[in-house]
Amino acid sequence: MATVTLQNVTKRFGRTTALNDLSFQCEEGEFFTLFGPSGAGKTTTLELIAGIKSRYEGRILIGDRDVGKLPLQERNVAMAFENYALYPHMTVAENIAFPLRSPRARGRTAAEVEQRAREAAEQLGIGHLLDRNPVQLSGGQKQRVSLARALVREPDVFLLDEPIAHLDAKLRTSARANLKDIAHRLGTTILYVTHDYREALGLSDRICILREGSVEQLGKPREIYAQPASDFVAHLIGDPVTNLIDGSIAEEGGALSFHGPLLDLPLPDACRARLNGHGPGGAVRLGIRPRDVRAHPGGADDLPRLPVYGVEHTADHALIHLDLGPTILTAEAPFQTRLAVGDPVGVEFSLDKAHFFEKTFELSK
Amino acid sequence: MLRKSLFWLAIAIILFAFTFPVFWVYVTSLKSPDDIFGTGLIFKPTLYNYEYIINVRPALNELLNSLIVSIASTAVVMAISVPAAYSFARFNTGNGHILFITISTRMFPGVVAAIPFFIAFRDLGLLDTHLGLTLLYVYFNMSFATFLLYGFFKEIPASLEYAAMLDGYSRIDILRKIVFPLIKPGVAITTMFCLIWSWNEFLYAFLFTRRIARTASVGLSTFWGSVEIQWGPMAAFMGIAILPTLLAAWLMQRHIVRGLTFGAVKG
Repeated sequence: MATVTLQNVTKRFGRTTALNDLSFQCEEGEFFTLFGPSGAGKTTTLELIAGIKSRYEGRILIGDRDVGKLPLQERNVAMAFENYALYPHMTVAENIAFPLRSPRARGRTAAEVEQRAREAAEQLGIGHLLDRNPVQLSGGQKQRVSLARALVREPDVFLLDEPIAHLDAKLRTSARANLKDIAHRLGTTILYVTHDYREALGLSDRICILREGSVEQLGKPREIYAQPASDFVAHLIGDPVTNLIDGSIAEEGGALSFHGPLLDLPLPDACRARLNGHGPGGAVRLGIRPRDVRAHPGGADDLPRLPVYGVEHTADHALIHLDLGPTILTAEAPFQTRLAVGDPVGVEFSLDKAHFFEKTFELSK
Repeated sequence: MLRKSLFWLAIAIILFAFTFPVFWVYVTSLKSPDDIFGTGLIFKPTLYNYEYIINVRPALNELLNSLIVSIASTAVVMAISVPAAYSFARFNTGNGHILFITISTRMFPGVVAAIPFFIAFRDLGLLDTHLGLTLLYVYFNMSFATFLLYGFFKEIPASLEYAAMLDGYSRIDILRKIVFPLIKPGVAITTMFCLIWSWNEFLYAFLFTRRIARTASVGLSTFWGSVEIQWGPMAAFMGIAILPTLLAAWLMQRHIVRGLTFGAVKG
């Protein structure tokens, strides 16, 4: 078990900068998730820690060892790869035992190695597959074998690169629960890479959100969900996607209001504390989750009205997409709501849940 | 039903096209000169033609030459191509330029290089020598073998090697325990292609050898004289000359099937 520390790490590939002055510390025994869209530098970060990629600026420490000069074999990290990287010519048992038979892991008898590999397999519920070849396994089974191979020795840190990204949706839910359980029992430091916000929120002790190679926000899952640091984070976390509306704030007679395309919303006083330094007059981007926006078919007199752009029924409610000129506003409605495209709908905002951001990227419809 | 019978008809035609020449060669080699030109299907088998190519016009030397040149050139090619292909596939050595140059030697017809090679070989005293022909075959097979092996190495995901490194293995160990076992079918196929190609090669063997290093493929053509064609002895010689390739195909069958479905190995 050890901490993992990155200090001002910059990594370039030719002219593109993959990691830009990246710093964070992952504590001992922590489940630490690197989260971000593709191309944010998540996998590159893991590969630098593992030593698969090298030549970077800054320092990477595992515990208090600077691993910059250490070859992969000396770093004592275990990694589960996105494509599982199982050795196709070995059985499951041989795959799992492979790290224990390495020249660096001497001191075990053959029987002990087998015993240990069997234990790791049992732990992941693949004890019955030991004699199979990787080609005979399903995706979920391969993923477990690759985890078992990582778990079989006692590394300082586990690096898991989207280990469950390629499983189908149902399997992913159970794999997630499984992973959480394993992480809990191991108590070892885990660095986890994902682009699925459910995995990030569900598994992590802390989440580090990466954007173009730098930290956009770092915090506990609840903090990140409740207080996204930027419109980028708000956009990334949550499904359906958080509504972002560009507009401005005005103040008249002590009362604040928000003016956007097709919308003029009086802001309750509760919003004052959430303005994040945005004052009257300036441009602002308002973020509000679809669950905090309710659509009323027919509409009430005092609510703003918007035309329906599309209706999507999920398992337990309806998502009403409304035409907001340059963008789309998504609202929730009861499941039985019947609406046609173009129908006017009254929209009620729970503005005390709204976030106010600086605009950092362009929106599109 | 019609579909099925059409399928089997097509199979039968293909099978006939491929096996009949082989059948014809062996049957003709067992016929006496009179039977070869006879119209009856029944004939009395004789070993006359085989005796002919052992005693009257010995062919053993030419077969030996083919064997020496094929094995020597293939051994050299593999010794160079395996590491070269690995290096191209894994480390992108030369940013693709060297690989391109390697392949470009196959982009012109082989005969184009014949005259410059001939002049150079004449000056170097390499005409009609085993070494000369071996060098030529190395030149021709190496580009092909490197490119073929490059494809096979590319099929092995780099993450396998990284996984093994993180598992604590050195590069040499990884070559031994991961890369080589996975590349074996590819190496087998490439070796076989090189062997068969060198064994069958005619043009360069014909131009660059005369007596001492003459190979079986050139030797066979000598039965085709200006006055007559010695069908019988030629068929006997042919029957022996195609044996190694038939044997190689049979031996490597398992590997070929594995090699052609190599993509299935991927995790």
